[in-house]
Amino acid sequence: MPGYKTIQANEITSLKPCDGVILDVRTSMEHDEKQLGCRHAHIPLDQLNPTDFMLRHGLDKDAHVYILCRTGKRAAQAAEQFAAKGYGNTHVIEGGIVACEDCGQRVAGHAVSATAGPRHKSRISLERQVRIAAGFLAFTGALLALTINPLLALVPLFVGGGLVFAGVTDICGMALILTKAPWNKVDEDK
Amino acid sequence: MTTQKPDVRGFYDTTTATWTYVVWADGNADKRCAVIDSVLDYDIHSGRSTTVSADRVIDFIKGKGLEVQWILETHVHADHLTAAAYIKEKLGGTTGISRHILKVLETWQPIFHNEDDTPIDGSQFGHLFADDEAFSIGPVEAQIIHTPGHTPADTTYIIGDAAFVGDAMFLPDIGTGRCDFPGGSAEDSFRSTRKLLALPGAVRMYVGHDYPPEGKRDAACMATVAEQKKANMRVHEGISREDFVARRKRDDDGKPVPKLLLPSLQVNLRAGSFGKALHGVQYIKIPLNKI
Repeated sequence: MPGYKTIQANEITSLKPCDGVILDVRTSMEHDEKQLGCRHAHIPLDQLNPTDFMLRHGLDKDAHVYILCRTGKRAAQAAEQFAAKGYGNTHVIEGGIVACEDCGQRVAGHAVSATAGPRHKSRISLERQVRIAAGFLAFTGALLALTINPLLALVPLFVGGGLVFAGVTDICGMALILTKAPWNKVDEDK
Repeated sequence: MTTQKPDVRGFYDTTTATWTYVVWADGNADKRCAVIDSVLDYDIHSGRSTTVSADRVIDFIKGKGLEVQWILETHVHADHLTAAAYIKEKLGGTTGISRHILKVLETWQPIFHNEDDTPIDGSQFGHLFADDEAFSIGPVEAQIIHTPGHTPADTTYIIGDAAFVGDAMFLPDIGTGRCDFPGGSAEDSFRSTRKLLALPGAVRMYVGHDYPPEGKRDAACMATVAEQKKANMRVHEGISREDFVARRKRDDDGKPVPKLLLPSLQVNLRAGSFGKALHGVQYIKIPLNKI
């Protein structure tokens, strides 16, 4: 039994501003690419401290927190952290930013529209980076296995297995590694 | 300064970027609370006031079963109207502000000529706090500190381990309040921030406004004293008085007057009342060529 509640993505437009706060727990890069068009807070899951977050936003223990990520997995982990600290009105936005976009909620960010500036247009999305990196590793591993040593076939085997795992669990290790890359650091002075 | 940790609920008004706070001792049988820096919604174009923001605070207080003991102002605001009179009418409580408001009343009376409905002795407020006066909110010990600079009457309320600083300081990336209003002083502001930064590092400092840089972060209301000391862009440790004053004056030079300045001051000097009616209609005066 989870210690949190869920709400549908199409319900967030009816939230009153003082009901609480919407919290996005995706990485800074994902947030920079695509984000809710309404007021919300953003703290990556690996930096989240629920008590500290609530204090800094003037929220008491009964305040409502509506959490989203890309599809809902990380939001659920974040919600469990809030629940463990005794915050009883924690909600996961089902389907995350993907569902929000699908149901017509306003989203912003450089991956969304032509309104972004030149700096943003030059950045490759995280999903494309994962495809490029996985494809490169699989192609190179297979090529080397055919020409140098058959044992190098383990590389594309590992990459393929990782992609299946990411698809099933929605946890992508390669994406997590890529978000740490220097070219993916979000410019905090924007 | 006590180690009591009161609960704080903040309400952010996006129109005026103002934080209103409700402060109480959670889990205690004593349900008395304070409301700090409330907001009355006012449309300058139509001259119409509404109570949407204040009603949210009132609903919260009722929902929690709290009893309003104090309705406090950190200063006479120039950017929003206080809802103190409305909240007092609905929920009771004593309105309070620093006794230094008397200077502000003296400053503005020759401009507004409001002596008919704005007593110059400050009696429109339930209580005028003396410097360093101790008081309490239910079981939580509290004290005021005079922190002028933004205006001559700016006050910080220390409530348990939380400090409500009004416009004396903002969050670290925003800095401190402007000092170009009548009676304001960059020198006083620097001295006041030093008083605040001398508080224990773990004290939670709650600000009166937040102006979050667009797309960078959402509005927040609290940073610890230790964080302010380390990172406040105007007054972090190592900034000299001379540097602060020079930068403050440079930044305030030519700054536009807040759009709600004239309505705000008149109403806030009356503790949130709109004053005497004429033929059943209340008015806001606009003095010409005086500001």
